[in-house]
Amino acid sequence: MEYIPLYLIFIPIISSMIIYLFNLRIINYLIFITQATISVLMIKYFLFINKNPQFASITIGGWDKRIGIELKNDVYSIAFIFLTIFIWTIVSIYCFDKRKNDAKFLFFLLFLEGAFLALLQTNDLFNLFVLIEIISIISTILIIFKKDGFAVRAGLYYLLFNSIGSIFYLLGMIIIYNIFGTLNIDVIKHHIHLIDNDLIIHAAFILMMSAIGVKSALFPVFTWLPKAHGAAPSSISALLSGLIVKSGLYVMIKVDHLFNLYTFKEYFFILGFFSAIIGILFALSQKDIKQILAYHTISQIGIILMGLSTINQITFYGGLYHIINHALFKSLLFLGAGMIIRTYNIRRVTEIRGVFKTMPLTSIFIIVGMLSITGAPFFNGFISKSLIVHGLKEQTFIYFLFFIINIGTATSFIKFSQIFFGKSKLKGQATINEKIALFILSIACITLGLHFNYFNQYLFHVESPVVILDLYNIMTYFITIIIGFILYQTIIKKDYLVFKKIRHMHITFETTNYLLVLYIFTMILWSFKAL
Amino acid sequence: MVIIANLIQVLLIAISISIVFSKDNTRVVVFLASFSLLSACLYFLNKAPDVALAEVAIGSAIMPLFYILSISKQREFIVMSHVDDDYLKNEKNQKGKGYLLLENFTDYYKLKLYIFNDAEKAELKGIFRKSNVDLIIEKDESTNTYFLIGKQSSILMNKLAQLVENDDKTIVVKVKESETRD
Amino acid sequence: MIKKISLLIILFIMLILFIQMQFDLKGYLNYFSHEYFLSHTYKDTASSNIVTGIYLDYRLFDSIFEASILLIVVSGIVYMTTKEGEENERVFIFEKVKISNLLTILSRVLYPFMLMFGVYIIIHGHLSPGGGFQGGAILATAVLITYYIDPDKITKFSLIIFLEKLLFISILIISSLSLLTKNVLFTNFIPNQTSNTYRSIFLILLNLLIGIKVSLGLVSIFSSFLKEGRS
Repeated sequence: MEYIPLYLIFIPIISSMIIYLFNLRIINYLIFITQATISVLMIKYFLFINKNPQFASITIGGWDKRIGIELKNDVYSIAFIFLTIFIWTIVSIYCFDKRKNDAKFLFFLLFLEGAFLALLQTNDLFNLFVLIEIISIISTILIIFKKDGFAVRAGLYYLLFNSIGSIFYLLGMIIIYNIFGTLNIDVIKHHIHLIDNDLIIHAAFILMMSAIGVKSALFPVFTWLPKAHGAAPSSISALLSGLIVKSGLYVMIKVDHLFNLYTFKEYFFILGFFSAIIGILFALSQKDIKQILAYHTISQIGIILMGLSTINQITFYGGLYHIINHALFKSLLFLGAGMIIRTYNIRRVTEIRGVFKTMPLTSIFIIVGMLSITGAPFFNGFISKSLIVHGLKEQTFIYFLFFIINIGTATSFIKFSQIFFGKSKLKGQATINEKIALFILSIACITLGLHFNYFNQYLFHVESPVVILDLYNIMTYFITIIIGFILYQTIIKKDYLVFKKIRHMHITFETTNYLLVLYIFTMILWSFKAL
Repeated sequence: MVIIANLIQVLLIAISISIVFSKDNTRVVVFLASFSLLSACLYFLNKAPDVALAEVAIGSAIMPLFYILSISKQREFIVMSHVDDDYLKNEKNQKGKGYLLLENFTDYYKLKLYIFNDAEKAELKGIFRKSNVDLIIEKDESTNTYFLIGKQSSILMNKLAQLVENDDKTIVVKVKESETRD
Repeated sequence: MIKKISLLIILFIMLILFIQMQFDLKGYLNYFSHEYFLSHTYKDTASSNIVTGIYLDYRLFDSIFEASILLIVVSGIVYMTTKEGEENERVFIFEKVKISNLLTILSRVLYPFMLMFGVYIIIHGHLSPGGGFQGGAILATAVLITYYIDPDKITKFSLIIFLEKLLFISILIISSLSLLTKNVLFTNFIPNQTSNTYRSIFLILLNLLIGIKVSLGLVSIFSSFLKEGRS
């Protein structure tokens, strides 16, 4: 019973190999059996852990904890494992119609799930590095799956840049191994306050954070994300935006808890703010559906980073909760966008019209996603954004900036919603599988919006303040929508030259490396300011 | 012993600078192989023989083989012709007009030319996805013009179009590859 | 121009700070795992080579994922280089490349020695420097030299990919056999009381499987590169 973490990792891997070896259509249904088995095992493990918490960590091979590899399941990883299994089930329901006979696609998809579940549970620094590399390589292969020019270029750019980032992580890990003699995160956490030399600890922290910045698309080094997420097939885009990018944030939470440095929290708060603003600015000037959604991922990650890098407990849980909510509604939007693109065969928002009449059920689900991302009451975006804002209420300047970000999001989605009006002659081609997938996601969004207290207590074991659905919040939301609408009609619809220039801006690979070096240098300068 | 290690490190820096600044691909491959060999020596001098073995086997033997294979494949230019007159004849004293044109074109870019004749005309739709040809030559019997069909996304086609500007018996046609939408 | 100069200045400052940190690091080195491995490896894992003991017993979980990286890369490359369409519709171009006679004859002479050297390094992985990954790479170079002898030989590979996946599954099965004997996962499955010569059977077995798997992977990458441009 206590080896269930290892079963969770290896059942997807073994079933992916069986699917690839046999290459038959009947065996491809194994993916659903796998997902069902994993969910049942996870629920049993969760109940087991709650009763005896001493089995939460196991050392593989029975060796000493400082020498062998340890797998540990704490509050964060259990929540993320549930989210992972849920989203993977939905993506496999969505894409099963088209990929029934494609054994290679299912092989890579299931292998990625196994590697991702291993990343969430491991407690060892070098194991984390190997798993980050595996996830980069499998994501590249899935991005290049369509094999046309745009996809190959985007996938290779993604692979190259992420490999450069991973090298910095290795350097930071070597410094830590030299100082502490062990690679286990818990043991290092106990001993790190004994080292009094600031230069070494800051150097290790900066090197690891630069790698994490590349993986989770923070402000200067985010340029790989729109290309990769725009070029991948739709189900893979949903998976990448929803989960794989969040793996960088998960590693950041772990490394933050390991080092416990106070000086860099303000730096990451500012960085998150810039990510959010730049993401909104780029998203307002794009016309391709998938690029709009990809740039919105960048800005939402900025908001999550603003939430995670404060000392206030409520804001921290707001950021954590926003990771879960963002995974749900971003996957909803990407899957819906995939269905629209398949029916209409074009990708520009300004040319697609009449979605509401052609595919009524799909449009309702996409509208649910849009309401969640802008933070409407009764949906889950409202809860997490209010939690993040709760800790910032004292500093009115930052609260005002946050309000501007919300207005930007609302404007961009009002521009997105122009696809619903008008008429179109095409017939909607949406299969039952896809509609079921979208339906389950929307139900999840609404449920998490209404009953979040229940989830908070059961999963996170924390008492959070009740976010009151009072008149003030609802009025704030409507004012945001109205200002967004006015902005859209006056400025965005005209498509000024500034937006055209931003849309066609092309950042070369040389410039992105230069931005990476600048990013490391600003972190070094910030650490000097604090010394 | 320390002197040898320091000398090797200085040599590694010099090799990496010359890798960054050199323009020819073959030279870069040779430099990479020597870089790998020197770093394997450095691993051995620092008492890590396992790593040195792996580095020599992979970095000096297998990787340059892959690089040279892909560089040589990049240098080929494959032409499939559906005409059977002497437009593309390659004999000692008279070379066909088309052959001179293609030779001029591939010499400019330093590519190797491969021409082969396909007797039965293969299906032209989506052929750039299925096989590895770069150019297809067809002839229109009624007007006696030759069509050179290539991919639209390839930048070599611009040079070819520039070369046949003056000749109105030869037309360059650019075909958009069939892309999948989602 | 400004970008290049500023880049050089920034990199120079980072280099100075890095060197300063290196000098500071010398006072804080910790030798805990150094001493632990020197004193306990031979008793725990029955291998005289500490590196083999680490990656085949203490950290077997990592090695499984590293072997899987090679598997995924090979599957990805094979997928990316196959073009659509039926296999027999395509026309293969095999040009007559003249390989010099000296290279062919020398390859024929060297080939058995390279094979033997590769197998030696794989099997003696737990006694002298070497092991599965290193020996696999050397074995791959031995197989690749037959390309000079006979260029048509390395072009069928559906069997090779099938074998590779089978080898990966068997690595997984052998690593988890210890659940039955010792009640822990991913370690040596022969009990601790038997003599060291019997316990090293596990190490030799795993090294052989990993070595063959690595060499098959590299050969299939090479042959998919060869096959790609030839249609």
